Amino acid sequence: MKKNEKVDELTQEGFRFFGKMSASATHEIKNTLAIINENVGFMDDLSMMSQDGMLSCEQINSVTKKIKKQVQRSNNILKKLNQFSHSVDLSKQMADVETTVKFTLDLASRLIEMYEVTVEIIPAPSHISVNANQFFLENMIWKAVETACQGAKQEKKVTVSFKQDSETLAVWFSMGSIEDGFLDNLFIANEDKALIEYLNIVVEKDKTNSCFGLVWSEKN
Amino acid sequence: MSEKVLLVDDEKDFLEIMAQRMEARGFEITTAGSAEQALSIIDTKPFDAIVMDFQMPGMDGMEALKAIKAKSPELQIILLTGYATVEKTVEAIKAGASDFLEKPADIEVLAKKIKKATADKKLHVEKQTEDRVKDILQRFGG
Repeated sequence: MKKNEKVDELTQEGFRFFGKMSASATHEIKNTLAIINENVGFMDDLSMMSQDGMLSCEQINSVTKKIKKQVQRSNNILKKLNQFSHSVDLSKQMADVETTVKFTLDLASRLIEMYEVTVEIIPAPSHISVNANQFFLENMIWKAVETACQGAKQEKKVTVSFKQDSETLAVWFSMGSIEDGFLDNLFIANEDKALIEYLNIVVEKDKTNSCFGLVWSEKN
Repeated sequence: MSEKVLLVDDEKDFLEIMAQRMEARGFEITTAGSAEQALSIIDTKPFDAIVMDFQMPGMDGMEALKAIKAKSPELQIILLTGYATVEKTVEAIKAGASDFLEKPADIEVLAKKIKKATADKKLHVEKQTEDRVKDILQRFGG
């Protein structure tokens, strides 16, 4: 790929990622609004059905509790979306890898739910950080998580772990048992290659343990 | 007779309150928390209409729609979605959905759509019966 083609691929990939996360978050907010809408409608129903037009405290409490829960849920989604939007603020920064993984998992929680896969994080033995563009780092981590969810068809469980030695640091995604050949065609699309190159990552594959890792060489 | 409706959504809170409000409007409601559960429920009970979320964990709305239609072609399915794009709507209607509604939905609009879907189902069943009778008469010399 020529340099301008790589930039195009990276830009397109970034837009796709931003679109996917925004669509998922706004979809979830619509769900919370639908529940709020039904609860308010339920209050209307009760008020119309009650003889004297008065509602019992118990009924009101039950509905307000449900509404409060959904408002809290919407607020959490919006907080995540706001933090995500700010990940484009700086072109590069020292990014804590474990925190970024946790945030990306939280941001994409509804999308992960769609795969019916449980993602477990094994805490990093020590603080690990990379000098990277926060937005594209989140993008790469999401790609890795989504790929791992697709691979973990049988055990429906992905384990994320961190490794650091004197020369490299890495995030590993283990999928239990995977189909033959699954690791052969990982991240081969042009947009994947552009992202991997931009972030200075090497993708390592371990067929024996059904896992792959995003590896940064500290010399870079 | 009240319309028998199967409500399918992975949002438990939505399912509960929606069922309560629909029952207050005279519908007979059964709920399912997933498309897989809905598929097993329709084997055991008859329904006039299914109101189903389009995006759910596991089997998604489109897959579920096709699977339900393959099992029971006469069943009328109304899809609920966060965002109804033209492409998505066309795709769903082509796959056999009778209607599409965006969340948050107006319950009175939904109720009307269910009643229309139920009437369409009756027509569909009547047409099927008529065709069967005609076929029998033709084959056995009516």
